[in-house]
Amino acid sequence: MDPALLVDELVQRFGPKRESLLRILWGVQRAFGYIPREALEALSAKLSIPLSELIGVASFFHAFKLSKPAPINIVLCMGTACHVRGNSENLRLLKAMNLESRGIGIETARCFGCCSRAPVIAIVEGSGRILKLFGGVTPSKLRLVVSEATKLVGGSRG
Amino acid sequence: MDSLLARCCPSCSHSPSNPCRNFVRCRTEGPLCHSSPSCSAARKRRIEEIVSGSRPRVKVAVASCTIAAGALEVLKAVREVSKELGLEVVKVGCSGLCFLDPWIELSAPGMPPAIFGNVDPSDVEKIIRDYLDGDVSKAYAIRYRTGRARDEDRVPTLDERPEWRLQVRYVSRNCGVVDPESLEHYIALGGYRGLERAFELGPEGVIEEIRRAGLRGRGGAGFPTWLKWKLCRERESDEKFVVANADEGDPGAYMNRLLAESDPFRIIEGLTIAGYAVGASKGYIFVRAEKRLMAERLERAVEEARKWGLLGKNILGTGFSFDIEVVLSGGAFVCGEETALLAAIEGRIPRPRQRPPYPVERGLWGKPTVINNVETLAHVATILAEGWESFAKYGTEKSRGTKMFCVTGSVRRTGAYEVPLGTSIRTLVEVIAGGSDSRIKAVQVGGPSGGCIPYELLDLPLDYESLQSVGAIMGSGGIVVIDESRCMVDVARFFTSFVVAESCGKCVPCRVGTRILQQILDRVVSGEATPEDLEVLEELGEAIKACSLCGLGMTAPNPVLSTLKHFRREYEAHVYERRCPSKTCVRLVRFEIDRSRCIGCGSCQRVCPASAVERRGSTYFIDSSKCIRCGACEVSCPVGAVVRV
Repeated sequence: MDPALLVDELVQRFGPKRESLLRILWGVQRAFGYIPREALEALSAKLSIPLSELIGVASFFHAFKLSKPAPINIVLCMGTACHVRGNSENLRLLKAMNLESRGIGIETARCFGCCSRAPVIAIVEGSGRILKLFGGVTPSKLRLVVSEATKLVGGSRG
Repeated sequence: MDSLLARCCPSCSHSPSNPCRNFVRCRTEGPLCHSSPSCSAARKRRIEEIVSGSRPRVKVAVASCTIAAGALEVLKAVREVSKELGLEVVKVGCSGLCFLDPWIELSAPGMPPAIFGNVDPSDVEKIIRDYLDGDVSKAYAIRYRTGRARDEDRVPTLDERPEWRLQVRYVSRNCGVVDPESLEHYIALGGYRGLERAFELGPEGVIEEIRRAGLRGRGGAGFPTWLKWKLCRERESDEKFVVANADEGDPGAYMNRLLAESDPFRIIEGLTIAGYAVGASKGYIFVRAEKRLMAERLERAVEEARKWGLLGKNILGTGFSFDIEVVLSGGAFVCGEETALLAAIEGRIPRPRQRPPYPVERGLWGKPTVINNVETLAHVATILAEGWESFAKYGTEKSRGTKMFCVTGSVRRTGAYEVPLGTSIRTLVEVIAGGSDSRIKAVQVGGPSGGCIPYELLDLPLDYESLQSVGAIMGSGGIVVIDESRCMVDVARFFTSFVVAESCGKCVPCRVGTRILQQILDRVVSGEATPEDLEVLEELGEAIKACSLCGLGMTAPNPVLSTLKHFRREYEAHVYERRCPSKTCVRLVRFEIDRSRCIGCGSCQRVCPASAVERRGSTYFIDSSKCIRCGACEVSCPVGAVVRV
């Protein structure tokens, strides 16, 4: 779908007001998995808000992505409980594995809110949809996460 | 009767366009406008069905936390078995006993309702069949005794379990009990009585009721709720707003999510009461980006309330019109700060601004606005329904009532527990949450704005003033238990890097100051810091607190300052002895292979990126001069022979 068309539709649905901005940005992000520049340009014209300001808002929030994410991402929760139970170690290990070359992105998130399962790691699709959630990830379970993600990358390409 | 909310017979005329003042009370005690034994019996029957069920029933807890533990697979298995056996399946929220996730509750006429924890989908059929056979022996607990199940005496009741007995389930009473998507369930269990009573008391009466209850904000600072409302009520304005702050961002705190996912109507009701008390026409619920299910359930609840005339124009025929919009944040911790939150709703960059003017004077679009935390609003609805005494009888003189706390980290029973304020941290952590398998070193209270409290001070009561006296804050009530294996400097560094990432960048003390704190802490954990660095940490921390623009900066140094105060020796070990006492900081440890355990498999050598592992005969050595301390060998070793020294 053309980003500009989608923006038209979203502006019509939520109203051509500044206060609809968050809803519209979410709508674009859900459709594309990120917010393409063309969408922001179209939105800027529609709402008469300078492009620089829109980029300011969209880049301030970390849930909005301004570039296309990898098809499969390993997202580590970096909440306190996950940190003290070992996700910072896990992050260090994952970074050493050079997974980007296999098409797997590594990202961190703020607390997922399921601290009882700490440390928590999710496999997330490019669109932001959570495909699998792993709790209690010890270094040995980390291998399982990686092999699962590798399998999913194969699937998303095929 | 299909639904308690529907008309009992043609005599009932309630609809959103023609609202009945007694809509709520009529559903549970009615009918009130006409006398009909059959209508009244039908209503009673329906309530009975909702409360205890007329046939065997399975409740499955479906909330973010239980889903992470596999609740959807359990739900699927439960549905399959229930179809075959003719059981009713009800999705409920979470009770806060997170260590049981995923859990289910079985009930049947005459049998004690039984809760089964850590359920595996493959065990579901056996659990259900055994239960229907009169066997509850594998249950975690039963709600009460009936004497009808086999070996019932061997299973404790919930009240016999310390994690339940010591709680006061005031605001969380419905969590894990009702279907969060059903307004009917909420009303059947006494919901919306608070709003009805608010209309009887009038706006000033409501504010007076909250004043007498002594409710203080549950979001952190503890400002008296009634005073905030009164200040807003007294402002002259053509338009006013109320906002529920559901931007719960403190890592380790999820009580708001739990409440909203398990009992969303209580929050909607509370916000409606707040709107009525201050004279607002519109309410917003601002939900944190990561908590989608919370936003979905709230949104659904808003639609449902609208459908039955509990939101919208002329609510229950009182002339009061009010509606709610749920806004999903884009994810920025600073939005928890009220002026930033307002900017986000308006579609601007969420950077805090100088206060005063406070939002009660100039808030959304310059109009008077009240912002309350989600738990505060849920308390409001409960207090109005139950009367101020029911709340004020708990807690301490200055900190009244109950509060939910999330206990996570190194404890046996992770969970969200509601206790009277003034309960000691020790009771919460060691009795309710069951203590730790390892030795507890400290508890971190209040998230990135809070502080670390050492084990010796665990008898401290949980109330606003006591926590402040030791350099922590109540915050939203997240408590992370830290055991001996963690390094306190590393914990402080973790929180500091959190605020560095989340600082909005507007004021220099926060933007630059926290970054310098982080750089110094980086040096400490690498063994490169000097004694002067510790002094700078303290001095700079105080300066950031004194000079920052908003609450984020003013509290950002708390984790560093409180660990420096209570765990100075750990810092000194890093600085003077170049060692990390808990062997967490990798730059200060050496990896060695324990030859007594090594099986000579060579996996450490294969994964080492620096070729630092050498073979000598049947075993391996790590060449410390080549080792880059990445820890890959430690992870790869199948027998745990790689040790830190």
